[in-house]
Amino acid sequence: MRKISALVRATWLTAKSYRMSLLFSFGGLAVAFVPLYLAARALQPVAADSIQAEGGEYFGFLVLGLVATSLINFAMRALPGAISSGIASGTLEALLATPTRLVTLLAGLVAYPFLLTIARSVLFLVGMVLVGTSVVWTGVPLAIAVLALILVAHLSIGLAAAALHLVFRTSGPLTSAVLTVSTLLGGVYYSTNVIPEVIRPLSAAVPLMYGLRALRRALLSGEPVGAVAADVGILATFAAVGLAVGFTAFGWALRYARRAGTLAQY
Amino acid sequence: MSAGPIVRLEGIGKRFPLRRSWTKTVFDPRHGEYQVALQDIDLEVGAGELFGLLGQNGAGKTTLFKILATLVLPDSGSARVAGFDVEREGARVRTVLTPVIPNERSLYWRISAFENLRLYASLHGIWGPEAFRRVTELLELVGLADVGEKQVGLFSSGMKQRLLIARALVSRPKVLLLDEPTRSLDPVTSRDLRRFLREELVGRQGCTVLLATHDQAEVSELCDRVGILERGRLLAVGATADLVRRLEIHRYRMWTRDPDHAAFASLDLSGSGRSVERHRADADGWTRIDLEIPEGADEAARLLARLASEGVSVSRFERVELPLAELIERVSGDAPRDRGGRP
Repeated sequence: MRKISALVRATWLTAKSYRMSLLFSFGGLAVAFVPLYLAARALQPVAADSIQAEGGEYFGFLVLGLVATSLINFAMRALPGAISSGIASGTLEALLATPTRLVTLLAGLVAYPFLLTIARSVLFLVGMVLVGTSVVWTGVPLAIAVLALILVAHLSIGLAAAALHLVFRTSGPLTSAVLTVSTLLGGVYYSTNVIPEVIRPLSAAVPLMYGLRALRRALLSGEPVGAVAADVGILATFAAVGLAVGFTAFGWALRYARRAGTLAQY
Repeated sequence: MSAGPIVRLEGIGKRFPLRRSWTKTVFDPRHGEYQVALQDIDLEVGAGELFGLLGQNGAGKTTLFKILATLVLPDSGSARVAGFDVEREGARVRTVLTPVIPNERSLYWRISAFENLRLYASLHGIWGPEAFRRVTELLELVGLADVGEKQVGLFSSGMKQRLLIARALVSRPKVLLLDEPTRSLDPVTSRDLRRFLREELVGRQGCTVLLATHDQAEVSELCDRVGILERGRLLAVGATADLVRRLEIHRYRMWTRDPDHAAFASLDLSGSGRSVERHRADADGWTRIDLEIPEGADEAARLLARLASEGVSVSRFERVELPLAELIERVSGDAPRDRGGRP
């Protein structure tokens, strides 16, 4: 844990040195929040029926969708991004030459962007509550658990993308494709009920769909664990299998890069 | 010097795949083309030894170091550091061996030198006041104490080079790998670094240092033993002085105003030396002559006395290093009897 903290500190100090960038990353949040709120209020009458089972209030529905999207965006892109810049700069090679476990190193490399994503998400959620969205507070622990599972399920894609980056120096369209499909079929902006029946079955293959449904039902409708157990179970299966595959792929790719001598070659 | 081998390489081989055209990759995927980087390297380096690895660019020095640092896996053979296998016990190897990664970009440029070292101290398990002490001590050691709080991006190349060395020393490694450490340093800092390596690191702390360079003078000045690497093959290993003696490398350089004196004409015939190369006279009329005197220093002294007695004006007469390319050519010719590298 102390090694992870040391890496977070170094990344934080680096980020802090780019003052305007740091300012914009939080300032942009406020700029995005207001039009989102106004648009959600305008769309409330249109969306109300389709999202009845998930709280019925479109702004809350939308904010949870966007928070989950920012988490999966982090989960899929932070690690390949860190690997890519680490290879380009040579810091990765220097870090790998220390007696630090690989898992610790990877966690340390993505811990700062993770904390930043969490901070931005919390600010968004606090804003959501402040403008009057009703939240069932007893559902918060379950919601946090579901968000954690959403994160882990998509971390596997991040590991696979990082593995591709180690071997081919690009992860290709993997993360963009998953993000697009998840946004379109996972129910970020609208309920999956409104997706045309022809493509609706495809939603079943999107982990975000189960996560978002469980999240909204827990936090906005106050449904108990039993009511969302099926969705949480499927999401947990995605997470467990995906993580095993992701770590295997990454371990294999790292060994390949060490064998091919390309760990520090851009 | 040696208290037993701390680094042991047996039959290490490494080749890297070459980039192929799309056509070849698609139609002949099984037959890759490779560049041989290391070939059947046997080497032992004793604890507390300062070992020089001499070779031209592309000789395989960096690959060998990367294998020892567990950053590259060998294709064949085995490498052990302090008894730990680099392939199977990488994490343990990294607790005793540290490479100086010679890439300036591997530093965190937007944070201070102090914070850079503090990060690596943490990654080596050194925390709190101990880390603070260690980092402060190292910054003083490499002459960066005054600029420790400054962003590394504002440093000169030489300062970054010194910081890279300090970073590698954070963990007090038993084995240090230095890849051309004086490349970006000014002469004074280079001299100080050499002194530090010899006296402090090896002399007092008992650290084993493997130094890769193409600077023979550096090797001669610093190293107990030297290995000559050429195109992935270790051509010769031995005590630096022995190697020079064994290869009969006795090259001298003199400056004279009388290059056409009869004494020079008789040099080849007398057998006391042979003129290797005569250069053009400089603006003051001094001509440089390079001589090779296989019999060595005693014969060189006799030759100088003879030139003086015959009234030949000689302003300087000195022993010089053989250029690396020529040294390698000689070792290549001598290679079969020089293979093997026990300390």
